[in-house]
Amino acid sequence: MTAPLIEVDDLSVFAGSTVIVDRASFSLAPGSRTGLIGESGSGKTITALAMLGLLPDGLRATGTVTLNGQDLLSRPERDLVALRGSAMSMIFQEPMTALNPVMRIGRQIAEPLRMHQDMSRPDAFALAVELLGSVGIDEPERRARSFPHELSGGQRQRAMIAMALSCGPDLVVADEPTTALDVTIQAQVLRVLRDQIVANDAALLLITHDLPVVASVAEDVIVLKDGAIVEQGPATEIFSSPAHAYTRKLLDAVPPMSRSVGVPPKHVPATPGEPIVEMRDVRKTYRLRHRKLRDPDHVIHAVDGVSLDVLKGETLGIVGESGSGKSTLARIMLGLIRPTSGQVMVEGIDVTARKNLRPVREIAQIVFQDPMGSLDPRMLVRDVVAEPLRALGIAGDHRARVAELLAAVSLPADTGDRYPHEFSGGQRQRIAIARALAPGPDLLIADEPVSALDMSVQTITLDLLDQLKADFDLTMVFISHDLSVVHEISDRVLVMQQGRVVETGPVGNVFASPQQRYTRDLLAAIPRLDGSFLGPAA
Amino acid sequence: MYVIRRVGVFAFSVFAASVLVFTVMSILPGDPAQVMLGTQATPEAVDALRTELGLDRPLPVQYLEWASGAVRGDLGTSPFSGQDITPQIIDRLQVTIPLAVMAMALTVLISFPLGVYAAARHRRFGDNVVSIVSQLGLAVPAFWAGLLLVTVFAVGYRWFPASGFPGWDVSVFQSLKSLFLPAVSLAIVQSAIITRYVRSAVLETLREDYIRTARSKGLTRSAALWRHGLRNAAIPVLTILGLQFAALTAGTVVIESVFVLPGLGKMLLDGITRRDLPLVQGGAFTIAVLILGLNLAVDLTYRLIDPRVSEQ
Repeated sequence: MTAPLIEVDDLSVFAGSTVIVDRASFSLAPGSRTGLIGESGSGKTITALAMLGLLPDGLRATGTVTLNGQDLLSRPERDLVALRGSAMSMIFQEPMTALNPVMRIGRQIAEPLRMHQDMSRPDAFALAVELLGSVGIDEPERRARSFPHELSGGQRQRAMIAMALSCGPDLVVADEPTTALDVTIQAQVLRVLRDQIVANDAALLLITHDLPVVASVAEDVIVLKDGAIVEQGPATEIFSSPAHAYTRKLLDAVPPMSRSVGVPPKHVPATPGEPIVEMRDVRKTYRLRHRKLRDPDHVIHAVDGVSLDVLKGETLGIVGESGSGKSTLARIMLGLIRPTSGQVMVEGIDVTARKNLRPVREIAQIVFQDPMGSLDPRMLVRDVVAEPLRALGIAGDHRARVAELLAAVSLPADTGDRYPHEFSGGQRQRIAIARALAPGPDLLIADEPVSALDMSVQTITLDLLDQLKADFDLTMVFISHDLSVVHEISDRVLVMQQGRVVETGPVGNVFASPQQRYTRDLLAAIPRLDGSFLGPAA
Repeated sequence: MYVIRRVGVFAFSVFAASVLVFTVMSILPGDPAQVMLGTQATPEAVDALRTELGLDRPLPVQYLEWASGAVRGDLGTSPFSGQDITPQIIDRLQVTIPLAVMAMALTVLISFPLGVYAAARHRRFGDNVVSIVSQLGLAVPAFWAGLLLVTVFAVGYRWFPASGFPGWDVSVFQSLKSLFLPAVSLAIVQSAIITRYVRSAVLETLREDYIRTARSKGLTRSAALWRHGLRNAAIPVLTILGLQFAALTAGTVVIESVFVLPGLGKMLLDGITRRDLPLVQGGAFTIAVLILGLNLAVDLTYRLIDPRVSEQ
């Protein structure tokens, strides 16, 4: 066995007296690819930051981190500065905020080259352009002169990869590098990441909550729970026969579609009911404030001629990547946004007429993506849930109704007397669901309701929605960028791209034999637990 | 596109300012003709003068006449001294603009290093010292600081003149010297305010993800701050600088009186006491145009610092 590149021994991180990382020990071989997995708050990122000596102020690390024979934790900062960016580097999750908004991409990539390799400005810039080309960015020369906001999310993350690899590091830590990206972009970026790591002979520590992503890139896996390592070993072994209950729980939360190909959907469409929502040729265009020469008509077609019916009692899944218009469509359905043209009827009521707002609210309610942002932090949960009742002037015992709703979403009875911040993400989403159900709607629109949640919490929340749908006799519109989640909950699915409906049909049909190329691309981009989707390394 | 739009906003603002200044001056109580002739004047004499000054015509007509003059750079004649107003103002600006610029330069020189230092020493001794000093600076009125400075550096050490202004054509060095103490008095309060903004802007920036990225590339904390932090931190500070420059210009009115400087502020004050309305009108309008022009400059500077501005 070769000597390890980096050896982490008994690493603990404290915030005051609170233990964040608890005696973690592991080692990475040169050129190896290891996934560090666990749910949010398990200490994955902090472990990595401690390894690079980049812990936020106020956190303290103990133990040893040995890179190429020297202990990093006992080294003074000036020694670490020489190693960061050259021997070890890091790729961060959100490339928009992780790149300096006022510095050109090329200069940001050239920076470590200038520092660590003493390159001249033109040489470093030329190499930066070359690196941008190698991570698959078109027109690298031009892109090197762009600012971060002028690039797409995928391009930014590619630039980040180029930057991390610029000095040929021995170790690259990638922290949720594709979590903020669309599924097709995720596949491309993961492939670039893996191929570049292999080409550079670097070791990779990939931090993610997404097990199929790990499976497609990493050979080994370390499982972190509450700051402590519960299990580590080869990915194939751990994913096929997990020893620890926590690992099993994580694996169980992986949607069936990501486990193997050709899984039948949970639901099949029942006999079609009456349409509860009817949309006819709905369009929503936004006029660009600034005319751009490249864009002759100066408008964005957010929703571009959509006609659809939502049938009573069904769950209609709407999938699409960011910018496909799915959220705009949902808001139009509720009358939150007025369409530029077209007809929208909910139970025969014209949603686009302002006077119909109240009756529509009693019929249709929505649950948003971010359960923290969408709940007023200064309101007691009881008041949050009761607010629609008051706003719509619904008579009755509001207190009893709130208690009933909280029970329905399986929250403890005392939940009402507390504030939203006292709850976890999953619990907060239940509060949001309870609020949506308060006026007794017939139609529940869920816009990315589980995207901000850990996978195990996703599963529970999806099950809850299914249960509520039956108990409250609901029709549901479920919007998500995540095909495997839509596959889990929907009867019928509608695929959107650039404001248009590309394909629609029963989930089983669309996912098993997609008719459109775009749908096929989306399906092919879903990471799978067997690690097959990226194909062999280049 | 952004530039054209911004210049359009500037032009409209200048128009709005001219209307505002003119209207306020016209509806102020006190008849200029009456004031000029004194309380002993007969009503007939006052009416005659009103006609002569054109004060008996409708307001819009008066405005149009004044505005069309202003466009050509002619702000009218002072009925009090009989002199043209524009050359007077230009004369006065040669004191006020250097004074304001000097005060602002001092402010930037003091507040940027202090603010950055305080942020870098966040919640440590140095930060606390800066915070206490800036509290003091805020509490001191400019005129009082001016008197104190005069007592120490003009009366005590005799390094600087206590008052007066020799004129640029007499001696540039002596002129700069006589503007120094007034500029410092103005800069004290401004520095106290701007230091706080710089400190919080830098602190905010230090928490940004890209600072962490910079450090992961091998930059030291201070290198990350200098190369990546400052330019980003400058964006919010620039806004405040523009606004404070306006406050500073207003401050010159008081400080020019304390130091007996022949500036625009002093002229305005004298004009108000004499009820020389056309002069006050011209002076107020000039200050408004200066401040609007400065805001235009600030907004155009944004584009240089922040590439995202033009796309918003």
